[in-house]
Amino acid sequence: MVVKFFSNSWYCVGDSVQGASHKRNKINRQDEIGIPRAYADFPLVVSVADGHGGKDYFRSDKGAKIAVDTATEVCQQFFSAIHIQKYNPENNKDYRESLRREIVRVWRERVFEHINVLQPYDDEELERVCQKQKSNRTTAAIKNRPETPSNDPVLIPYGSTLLSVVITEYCIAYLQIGDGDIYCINRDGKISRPISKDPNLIGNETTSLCSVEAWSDLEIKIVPIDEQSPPPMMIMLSSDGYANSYPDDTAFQKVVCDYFKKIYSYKDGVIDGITDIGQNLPHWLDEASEGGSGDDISLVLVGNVDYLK
Amino acid sequence: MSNRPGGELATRPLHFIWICDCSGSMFGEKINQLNHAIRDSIPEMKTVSGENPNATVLIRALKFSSGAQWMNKDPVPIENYTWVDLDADGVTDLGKALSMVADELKIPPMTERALPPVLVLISDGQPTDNFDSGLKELMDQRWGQRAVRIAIAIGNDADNDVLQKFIGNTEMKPLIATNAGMLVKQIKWVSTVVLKAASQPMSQTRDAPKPTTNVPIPTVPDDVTTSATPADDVW
Repeated sequence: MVVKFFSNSWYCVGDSVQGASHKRNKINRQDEIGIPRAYADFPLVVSVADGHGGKDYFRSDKGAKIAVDTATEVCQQFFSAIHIQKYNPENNKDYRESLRREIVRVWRERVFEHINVLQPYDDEELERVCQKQKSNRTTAAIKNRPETPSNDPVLIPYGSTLLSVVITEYCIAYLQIGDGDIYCINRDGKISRPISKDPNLIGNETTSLCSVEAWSDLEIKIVPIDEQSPPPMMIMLSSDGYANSYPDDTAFQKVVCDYFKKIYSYKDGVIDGITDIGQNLPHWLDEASEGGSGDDISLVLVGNVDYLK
Repeated sequence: MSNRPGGELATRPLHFIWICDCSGSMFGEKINQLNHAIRDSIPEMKTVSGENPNATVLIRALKFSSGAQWMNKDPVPIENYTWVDLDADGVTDLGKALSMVADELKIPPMTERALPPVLVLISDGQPTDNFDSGLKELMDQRWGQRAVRIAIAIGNDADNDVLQKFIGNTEMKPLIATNAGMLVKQIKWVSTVVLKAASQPMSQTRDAPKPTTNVPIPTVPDDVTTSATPADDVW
């Protein structure tokens, strides 16, 4: 469980639990979360990553950890470099394009480093990797985009999703590749998804950082912050194990709203609400996995309390 | 009482559908053995289901001969499911059967959060109606494309090309039952091994190597695909 406060305005709370079915089958947790240190400066980067698991993705727990670390480092550097004085919303398209390529490039570089330096594949693992067939999207994708890093099958065992939110003084960026959910509670009290759900992904299908065209599957939305468009009151990131523990989107949106209500229901202040959530979160997430999907569940809540002032 | 955010939790539904040929050529021992094999597999399906409390296994059966008919259109949880014996008579309207399955795999009534459904087609003959049209309707549905599709051919007269088209994956061949013992083994394999694999799927990347099944299915053991006593092969 992690509870962090970054300034008078922003807080964060999150946790990641091993799924009930993973406990039964003695499978390590494949999810990971990334949260900045307390009182960190902008840009603040929070992330949730969900390693795919299963025999084809036998290092996906490592892939998820590399994903959240990559997102933190790349996004911090990227948005620090833009800086408030240089930020121009008209350039959002260019920012998105550069950021998605950089995240995928660095993730792949670090996976290669992990394989080559920290934990080389043993003979049995290598054989499993070599059994991989070529993807039917490979050839054209590589030909058309030679700058795209290779679809080397050695990457596949590290397959992971990534959800990140970057908060600066001047904008908020939402990033998502693969399944999982990002929800906002906006200033008008309405709930929204900053990045639309991919209608092509149902059941256990996902896009992935290990995919050939990961850079194009990585959705990014950058929303400027100003007086007319203040930041959301709360943003929630979660791995798909959480939403899959409820019957439908409507039922899961109630979860989002309930967290928001809990934070603001304490008469002595939101700090008590946030701390209470932090203390209970491991139990709540365990309970959801046991009674729901059985999958690992990760959750990060990040919120802004400026509007209370 | 827990003050956990959110309302009632839900496990993920896993729809398992038997699609059974009840044409006249199935009359006699074939349909009797089919009834026996599926009825006997139910307790083992309950055991497999009980091992994964995070999936709710829901069973349906559809028979096809001259037309097609749901034995139970509403899915029944495996705990409450009982097999109703099928009779054989008429022709082989497989296209109609697949069209009716396609209707049930639409979203809604299916949900996006379901586990990939398992469709088990059992047939001894050749379609007498427009099979391609029925298959297209099935494959036009997102859950139709992503379903685990298994086919069992009863005897050597079954149209394996049709069954292979239904499976849609060259790595997975139709199982061929040439006697009652093999049929029992194959039904048991489908209703336990395949059910278990489908109830605990891991994520699949969209550009995973093709052809593949949406759920990794263990290799079929030799004793399920090969008759131990060829002299017993009567179908």
